[in-house]
Amino acid sequence: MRKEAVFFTVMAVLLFAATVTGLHRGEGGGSWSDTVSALFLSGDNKDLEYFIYYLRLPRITAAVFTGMSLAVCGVILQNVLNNPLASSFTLGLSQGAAFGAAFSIIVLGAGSTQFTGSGVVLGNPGYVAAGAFAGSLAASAVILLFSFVRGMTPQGLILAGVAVSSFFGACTMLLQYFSTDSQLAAAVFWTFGDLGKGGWTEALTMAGVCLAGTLFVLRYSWDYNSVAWGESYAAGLGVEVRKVRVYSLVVTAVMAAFATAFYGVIGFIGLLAPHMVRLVFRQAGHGFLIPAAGLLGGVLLLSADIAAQAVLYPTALPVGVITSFAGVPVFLGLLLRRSIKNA
Amino acid sequence: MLDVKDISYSLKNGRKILDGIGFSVGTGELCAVIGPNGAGKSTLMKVISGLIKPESGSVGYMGSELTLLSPRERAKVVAYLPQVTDAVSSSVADAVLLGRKPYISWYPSAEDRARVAEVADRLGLTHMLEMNVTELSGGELQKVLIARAIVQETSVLILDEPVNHLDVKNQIDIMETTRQLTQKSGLSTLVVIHDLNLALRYADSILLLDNGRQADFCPCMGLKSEAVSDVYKIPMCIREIDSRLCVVY
Repeated sequence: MRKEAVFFTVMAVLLFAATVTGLHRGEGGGSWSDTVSALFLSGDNKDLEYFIYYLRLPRITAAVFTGMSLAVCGVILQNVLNNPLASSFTLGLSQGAAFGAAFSIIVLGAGSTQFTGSGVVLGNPGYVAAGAFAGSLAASAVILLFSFVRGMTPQGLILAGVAVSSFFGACTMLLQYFSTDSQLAAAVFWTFGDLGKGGWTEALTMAGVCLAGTLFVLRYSWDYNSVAWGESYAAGLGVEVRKVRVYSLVVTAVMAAFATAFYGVIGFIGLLAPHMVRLVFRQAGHGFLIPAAGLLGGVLLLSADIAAQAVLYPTALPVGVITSFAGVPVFLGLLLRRSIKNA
Repeated sequence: MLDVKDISYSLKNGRKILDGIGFSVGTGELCAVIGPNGAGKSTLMKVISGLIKPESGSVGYMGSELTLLSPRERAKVVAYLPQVTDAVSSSVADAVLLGRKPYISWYPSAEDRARVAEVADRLGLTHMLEMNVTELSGGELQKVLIARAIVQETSVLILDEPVNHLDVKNQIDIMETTRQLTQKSGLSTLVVIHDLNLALRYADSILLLDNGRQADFCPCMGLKSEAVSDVYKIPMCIREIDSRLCVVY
């Protein structure tokens, strides 16, 4: 069997295993037989059926498609910006979303907080998500405007992202400085990446955006292969590099904006998944890299979410904390391994 | 026939990079583009390939104006290989397959892959198709890139300094391959080259550029020692040694 087929088979098995584990564990508890009965609606435990169909399944769906979206965004941004560290974070989308959420909570009063036994609950999460979405798109719009400037290099766009990120970070701090304690708590709470924030509506919207975006970028996979050789090569092969860059920025901005608006800041999936695939498949083109990294991103985020729920059970940690704690050492290890190999 | 007429191009600051360049290259002919650094050779290649829009002038092939074609359609007529920078990690087969880009929509077809196998066989690359291009020598990489240009199935081939950083044997090998492909496939080929002896040995005609101007365009036999001496600002002498034109300096 070809190496690529083995990879997809392993990913499918891991995804299945993680989905089954996610269905069994999580809010509501229950034994394996209870879980199976509840899944087929054949048991007496109606509470567990509710937990599975309205909490665990949408959470699993959200994890898979958010992870997939972030990983696909990473692959594409690293290609069109010619920078292995490019991701939705590098371009300031997360800081833009955090500012949008903080603006909704503090200025528009959209997110009064209620302290419950299990943590903080936002009073009006829909408005907060809308604010985050707008903030994320505003950050992408600045980057897009820069990309229209003739002569702007990919490195210039990355630097613009750093500037945008700092700007929105400062704006968020300014808002927080003048906020009340409960507004501050709500704004900080929102930034925790947490897949329990949404229900079916958010999960299915995320799935639709992810699949449409992934199909779109797959259509351009050979353009990305050409761009990897440099702009002159790609242009000589008939690729309109600026157009591809703009389309890609728009699509990845929308994918990342939905993910961040619904589930907060989730780091490292966009960096880890593409680099892990590239480490194993050094010769991979984008026709393979996009779906492979996407699938791995989904598996990674779902596994991280299961770990986030298990570490301090019954308290669930925000998944963003787990992805960062696990992602940093793994990513540094990948960098070290590559450097040692190249030495 | 590739027909370049009165091409001019200036930078935004008004500096003239190309000034009224005009020449033609017939099918099955190889034209060497020579001139000192900064003469405008690479810019001219980019203009002919459609990467840069000229201020004035036209680039025609067999009566059709190339500057009016879409990038994708133009890439089916002109194959352009810029100077080699770093190879991107991919298999040789995929690197060559990239030449089919103008014909690929979603994924390459069986026909695209068949073309790659055919060209690899022609250039003696079949044994290395599964290798990673980053592991190839400079000469092998250049050959892979030429194979990529050949699978593009164009009528015009443009190579910008294809023998830079190569040893003498590889320089001769690449130029020999280019000349054979040009003649057998009936291509109109332009090669930017610094080695004047290689240019005289393999080209049918010479385009001599100096500071954006066309100092000379002639068959190799017609190139004058005075013209090259003037352009390069050092005394040069073109002589026939063992029935082969050579530049002595």
